[in-house]
Amino acid sequence: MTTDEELIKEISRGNQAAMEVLIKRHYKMIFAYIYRSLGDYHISYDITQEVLIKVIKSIKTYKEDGKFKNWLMKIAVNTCNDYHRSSSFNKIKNHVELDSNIVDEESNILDIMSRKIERQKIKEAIIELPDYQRNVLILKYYHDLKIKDIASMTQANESTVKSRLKQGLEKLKHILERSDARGQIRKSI
Amino acid sequence: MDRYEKAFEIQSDMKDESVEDILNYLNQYTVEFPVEEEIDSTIDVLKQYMPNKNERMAKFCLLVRMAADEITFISKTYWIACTILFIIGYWTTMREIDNPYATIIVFAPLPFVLGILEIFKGRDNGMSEIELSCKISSSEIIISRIILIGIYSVLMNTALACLLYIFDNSIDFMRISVLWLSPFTFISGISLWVVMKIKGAYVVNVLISIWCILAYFAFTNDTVIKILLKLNNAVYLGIIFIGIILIAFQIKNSANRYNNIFERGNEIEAGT
Repeated sequence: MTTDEELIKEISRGNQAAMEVLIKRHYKMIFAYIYRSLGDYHISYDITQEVLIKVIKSIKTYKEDGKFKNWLMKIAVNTCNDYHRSSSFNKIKNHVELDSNIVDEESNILDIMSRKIERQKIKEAIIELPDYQRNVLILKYYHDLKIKDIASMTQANESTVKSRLKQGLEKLKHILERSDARGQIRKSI
Repeated sequence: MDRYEKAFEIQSDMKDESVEDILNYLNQYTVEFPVEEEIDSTIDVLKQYMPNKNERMAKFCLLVRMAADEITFISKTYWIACTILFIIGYWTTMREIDNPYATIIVFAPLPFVLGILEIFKGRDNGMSEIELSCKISSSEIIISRIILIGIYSVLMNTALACLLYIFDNSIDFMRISVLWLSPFTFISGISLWVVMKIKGAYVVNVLISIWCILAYFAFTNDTVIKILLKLNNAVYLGIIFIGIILIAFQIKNSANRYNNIFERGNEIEAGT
């Protein structure tokens, strides 16, 4: 299989087929990070496109150190951070959509609903986390990246990343407990 | 190492059942990925941002094409002035039997220094802002004019050197070439540097006046003229090299300066 570095060389020479292969190889990874970070399908699609435009525009500045994936994720992290700081994100923050992507015809309706609710709960909880905690949590848990790599992507040192992970988990636990408590109260009413 | 430790590489004091619950929750956060058509449409958008093949070569060809187009924008006075200089240069060199090399040294940089007026006439007439709003950037216009005036000056000087070589058997072609190239590159480089720093058409007149005064004093003094004409070839080559570096540096500077103005404009536009 052609390596990322070989494809990048081809892209620098203007080879569109190489660009297509490289983008298709990493698209889902980038989209998954952005989606979990923003929680909205359409915005995530647009932001993914924005990230990839930045990647292609600056492909010649990539230093061949065999860590293209990390370079790509760093651009995605920075673009998401910029979006989180924007006014448009604050507007949609309180209107996170209820997705309907979990389809399992074998399951009964209650099971589907319950899974949807659980998914929605974790989605809202993740979005409620501060940027720096959400970033490290998604990168570590969903992308299985090393602490060292996350530190380089988020421009923090390794101990800071570890502490952000710990604090992020504690906060996530607290948010989920609060959400459960609200659910119990609603049920009892 | 259990799942939790493996996933988070953090202290075990956080390890409890509730954290395991969080991990289970996290597992339920699945992603709805775009379909193939949507990914393909992103790829189509990306195609317009692809780096060009041989981008530098393409840019250079474009500048050369632009330089050819600029011929019509250069004033007739400049072409006439250069032709007169050429005739005077040939006539005086042929008359200077003792030292035919001296006059070509004096005349060599003049076509380029005069041409600087044409290169920067847009800027000096306050037209840069209008040029910046055009499809072709101000820096591209300046660089293409430098190329045009540079090529024309080299052709004029080469033609003069060839003519002198043909009609005067005592002239060594290599020597006359080195002798006109040294002042040509060095004075052109210095003049470009000065004009980039100081705005105004009068600067060219000042530069030409300084050059003529210096040449007059140098060539009316036998000792100085002997030293200048009998320098080691390596010294002449050194002067040519410095001159070329100076010109290249000014071209790069010009490209950066005007491009930065353009980019700043884009940033403002993007921010609004």
